[in-house]
Amino acid sequence: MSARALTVRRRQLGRGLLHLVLIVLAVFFLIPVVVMIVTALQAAGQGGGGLSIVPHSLTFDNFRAVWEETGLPRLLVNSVIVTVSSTLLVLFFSSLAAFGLVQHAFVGASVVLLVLLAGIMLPPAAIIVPLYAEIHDFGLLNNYLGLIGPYTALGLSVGILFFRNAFSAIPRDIVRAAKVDGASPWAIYVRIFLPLSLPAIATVAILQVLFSWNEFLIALLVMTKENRETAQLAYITYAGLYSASFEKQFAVLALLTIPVLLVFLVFQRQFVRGLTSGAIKG
Amino acid sequence: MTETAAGRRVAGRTASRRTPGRRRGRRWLGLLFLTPAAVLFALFVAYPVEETFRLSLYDWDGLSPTKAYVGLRNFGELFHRDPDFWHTVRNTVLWAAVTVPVTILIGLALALMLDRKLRFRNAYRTAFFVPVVMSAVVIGAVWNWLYDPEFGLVNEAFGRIGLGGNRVWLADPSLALWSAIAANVWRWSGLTMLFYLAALQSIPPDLYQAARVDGASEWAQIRRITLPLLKPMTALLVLLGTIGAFKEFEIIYILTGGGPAHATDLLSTEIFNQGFKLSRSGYAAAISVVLLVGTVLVSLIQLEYLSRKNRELA
Repeated sequence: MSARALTVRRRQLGRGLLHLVLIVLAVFFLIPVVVMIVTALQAAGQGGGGLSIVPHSLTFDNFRAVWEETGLPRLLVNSVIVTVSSTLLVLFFSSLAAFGLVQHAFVGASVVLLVLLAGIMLPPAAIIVPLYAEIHDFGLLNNYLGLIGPYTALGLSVGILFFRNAFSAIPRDIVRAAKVDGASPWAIYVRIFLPLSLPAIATVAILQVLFSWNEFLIALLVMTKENRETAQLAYITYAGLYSASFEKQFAVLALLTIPVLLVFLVFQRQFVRGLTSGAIKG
Repeated sequence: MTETAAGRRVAGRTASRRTPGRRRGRRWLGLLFLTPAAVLFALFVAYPVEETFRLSLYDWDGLSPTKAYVGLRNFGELFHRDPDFWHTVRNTVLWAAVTVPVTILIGLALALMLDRKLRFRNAYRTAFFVPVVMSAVVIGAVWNWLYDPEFGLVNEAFGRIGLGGNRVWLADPSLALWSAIAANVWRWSGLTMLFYLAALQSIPPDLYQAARVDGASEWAQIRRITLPLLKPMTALLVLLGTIGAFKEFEIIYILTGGGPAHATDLLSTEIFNQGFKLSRSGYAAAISVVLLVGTVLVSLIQLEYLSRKNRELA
């Protein structure tokens, strides 16, 4: 009895210690986020810094000021346009390509796949010089297509990887049965392959939303007019305007973060499942 | 039920017997499905890669219609006369060589702690993962503020625990790169944790049960069972982490701009400097070639290792 009580006690102690360590670590991981949001909620001049992250006062004035004084609403709309477009295109094009490669493999399909997957390791900075020249020559500077095109192209490799893994796992019998019933390839793609790959769809969508919402380098070069800029450029665009106000700078940063944070929190479950299952198979 | 299944199987066999005529049509379909992706990829990825190699042989300001062919002269300057270049190579290698193992160790520790029935497990996991979702611009800006010599949280914390609270983290050439690496580690550890958690869940529980019956301690179980079985995932994370490290641009651009005095410049930020600030597009392309070739070589070596690890396990 007492020996068992001892092990129970010891296990409880271990649990408590584990929670303590995890809480300390969680605080460490969240402090920068908390600092950002708490500072953005401070009245002017009170976001003092240091360890005083307990708010003195709470106000939405900074958010209101930033919203009214800057073009940020417009920038957020631009980001939504670019992000939604490139995400839909990546989902469509990469699933279609993976379907072709898995279901209708042609001579040299594996080589094509290899080339497309090689895109995963490409550092965007390494092609930025000719990419910028190309976008310039196409007359796509300050045009949404100047970002949607490269963002979609750069997202295809990861998309094809995840869709290929998901599609390869679909039982051949189902496909055969559908063919016997006279289903066209398009119907097989839309009615069988896509519905059976929802985790892959969620994962590719979230990865592409994160990439195109957060992308900075290409946007910096392509969007030079303020009314075409994406949200990530707001920080440097309005840094001068708010050089004297930490609080407003942080309100800008919080507004850039909240949309993707919400998308992630809502789809977290599917995203985690799809991301990790794709990685284990790939 | 069984009748239809059998019927389908028969029908499937007859269908595959009359494929010769249809298969050509199918191949043509495969190409058709591939076309939109292939066109976009060729336009915005493959062509710029080819152009990077071509431009590296020219002297070009990025704007004028004429380019002067200079052969390998850009590379000669790069390797023999540009002191900043070797500096940026060293920084890039250091950036990858420190970030990758440290994020892997932290992610592994977090995953091992969370891989059990635990209250608030999902809340912890989300907390560790939040930085992964944030943009590099936001992370750079927030850490810039955390590192502020006067108001920053980091100096305040160091001061309180008696390690001296007066460092200029991002302006001191000997500290700046390490400070940026710390922010980068903070950013990515949640991602390695997530991958390890998934790998841990695929380890059969019977293995641990058998070990416990044999009286193995928890630490012995981790060392003898968990860590060996995580090797393929670790190899994958080394590969993904290295690729990610070579891609990094934004955090440095926002946090330090490559300064002070090139102390934090990576190959990627040096490409940006040369190409768009100094208008030396050909020279920037030459640096890009180094980054491209380096990334591909390192990735191929790691891929080879990864597939060997997977074979060993299979």
